[in-house]
Amino acid sequence: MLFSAGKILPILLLLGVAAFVLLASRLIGSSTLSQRPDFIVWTFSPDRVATYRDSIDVAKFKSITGRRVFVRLMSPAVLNLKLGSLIDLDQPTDALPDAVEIELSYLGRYFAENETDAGSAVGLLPLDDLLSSSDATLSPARLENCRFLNSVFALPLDVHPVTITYRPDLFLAAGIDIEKATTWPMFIAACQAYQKSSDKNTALTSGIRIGRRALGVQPFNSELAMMILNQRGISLIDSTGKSRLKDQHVLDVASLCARIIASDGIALAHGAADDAWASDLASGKVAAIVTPDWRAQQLTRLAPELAGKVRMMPLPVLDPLFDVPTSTWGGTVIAIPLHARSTTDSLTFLRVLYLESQQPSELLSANTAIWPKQPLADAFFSGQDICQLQTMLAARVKPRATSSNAVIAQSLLADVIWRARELAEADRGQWLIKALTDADAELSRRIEFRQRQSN
Amino acid sequence: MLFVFLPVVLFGTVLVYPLLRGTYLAFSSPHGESFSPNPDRLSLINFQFLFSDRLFWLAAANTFGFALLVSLFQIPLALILAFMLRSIRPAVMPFVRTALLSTHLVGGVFVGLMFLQIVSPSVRAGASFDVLSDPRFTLLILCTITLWTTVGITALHLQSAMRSIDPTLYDSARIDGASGTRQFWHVTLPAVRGTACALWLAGIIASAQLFELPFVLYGQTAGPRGSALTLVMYLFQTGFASGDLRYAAAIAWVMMLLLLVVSVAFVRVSGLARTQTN
Repeated sequence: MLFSAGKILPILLLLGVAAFVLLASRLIGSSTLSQRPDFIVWTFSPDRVATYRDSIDVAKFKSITGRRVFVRLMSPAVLNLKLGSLIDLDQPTDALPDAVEIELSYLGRYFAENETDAGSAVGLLPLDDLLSSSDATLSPARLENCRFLNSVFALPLDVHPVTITYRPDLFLAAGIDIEKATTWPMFIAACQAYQKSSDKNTALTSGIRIGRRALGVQPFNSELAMMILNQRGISLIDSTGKSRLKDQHVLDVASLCARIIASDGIALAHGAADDAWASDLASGKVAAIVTPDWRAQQLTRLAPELAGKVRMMPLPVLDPLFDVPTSTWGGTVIAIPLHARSTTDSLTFLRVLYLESQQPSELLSANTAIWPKQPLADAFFSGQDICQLQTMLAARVKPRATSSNAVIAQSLLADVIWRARELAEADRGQWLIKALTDADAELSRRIEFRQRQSN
Repeated sequence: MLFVFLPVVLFGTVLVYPLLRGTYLAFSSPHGESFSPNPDRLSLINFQFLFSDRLFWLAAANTFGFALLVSLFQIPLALILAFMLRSIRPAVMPFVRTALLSTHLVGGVFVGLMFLQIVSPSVRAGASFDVLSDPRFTLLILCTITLWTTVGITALHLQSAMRSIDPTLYDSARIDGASGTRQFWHVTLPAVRGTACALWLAGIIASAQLFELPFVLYGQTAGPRGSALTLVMYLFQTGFASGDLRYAAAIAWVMMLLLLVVSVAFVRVSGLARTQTN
């Protein structure tokens, strides 16, 4: 017999299971939401769990809405994977949080370059009405990062102004006043002079005589280049969705970065450990490090032996007329999923905690510079008021456009800079023009692909 | 019936449904993103772009280059190790087995972090020495770590296969005057050929799925000059960092097809199917 019961049964069983799974997924998707009492906030920062727990504003929110705030901590990658999947469902579900903190570099994931209707392109709730009804002062540059197609989809929680922390004892021993180096070429020249001088006086670490480098960086990614580009107000993909890799400003920055990370340059890649940047500075392996504001706070904890031995200076610039002496490095925004359980409660949450907060420094002290920060031990930074310096610089940070192709754009730029690092200075310019033109073509093709996907 | 119901439901929920959904995503193109009121439509646009995507082919070359290099060394090293284990005294054997297994038990992320400490940059005598930043070392680092993790357990599998060889074969070989090397070539190797080929194939498939090691060693970057960009890493970047799940699903499908081609070719060339049947 061709179709015996023994053969048909497994097939019927599999078909039954497939039908069951499809039916169950439909039922789960269309089921009415349960009356969940808790207000769920997702975050990726352990520091912020504590600040939510201790905040008086959270208690105020509970008294208004009757909902208790419950914070779920997860890694940025997991958070965005879960959030992205739930947003893709495009329907209300119990699993969606009421508010979610997103790492800035992931925000572009929710924005598609081609859309003309912002409401349909982003699974997050537009916050324009909330902002227009508030008189809170938010950093315009940071707000720009959350803007897509003329709507704001998230509130910035921090600015992260970037400075350089350096060891005056090491530089002064070489007869160099590094704070006078206000442009990148001057800074490189001063660092090279420092390295030349310190070669004669190398440090002994674990029995190995090591040479010294001036600046600690990560050479095979584009963080340094992105930071300098932001000083110039340049985003690799601009707010209109066009690639700017061929731009003269990008060329200048790529050339500068290649010079910095070249083997005869001034940079040392930090080690593998999370706190390597602090130990490198403490051991004198490097004399200066790029310092987003949160690193300044961590440094006091990770390298207490540096107390009174470090100072902080604004970033050097490429063009003193055009660039700002600071930049930004990552950051956190808070958003509301479009299909959150009660968008009214979620908007109240943002209003109470972030726009009308009586205690911004308490809630945001973990990593913010929107409002005055908690004072750090000035003595650690040789008596310097770094809080004032960072707050002043935070106001000058330029905006950075966010895009779903940003990761690829940065990867392409990093590759170009890496290949340019070993070229002779004279050949580098022409080579970079060609390499950046090729990278621009690659990126434009990718942007066009995302547009064609949807049209 | 009830006994099979739960496993089959689980199988359907966590395997069949995602597979069907992934296929649908790879072959569809939205009008707008997923919030469009218009339904998705069938499209080959993801595959069209993929075949001309330089980064995809770079990732494929890195991945299969890695798989090739690992497979060249993994089985031969494991075979030698397993053959050497025969001469170890039974009393010490449990310790040796534990030692060989331990490298596999610690997990990819831990091993990655451990090797990260070993290969992290240092500056000596004023000259920069940073293997992590040098693309020429990427494949070597990844292969070394993978071999360190997998050779031990592969050797134990092969040793199990060797233990099932009839000892009289070795006795006969010895009586015929065969040296240790000749015994290895003419008795051991033919007897464990099926197991070795199966392990070889499993190794190639596992190597093609390389993700944790480059992720731990190079973060979410593609490494210097894209040398650490593997297919799964590229899939991760596309699907989860850029949010293009449709293109990521297409990458997964092509990756599966490439693996299928490699596996079928391997089975044919090695005669694995014949060996298993016999």
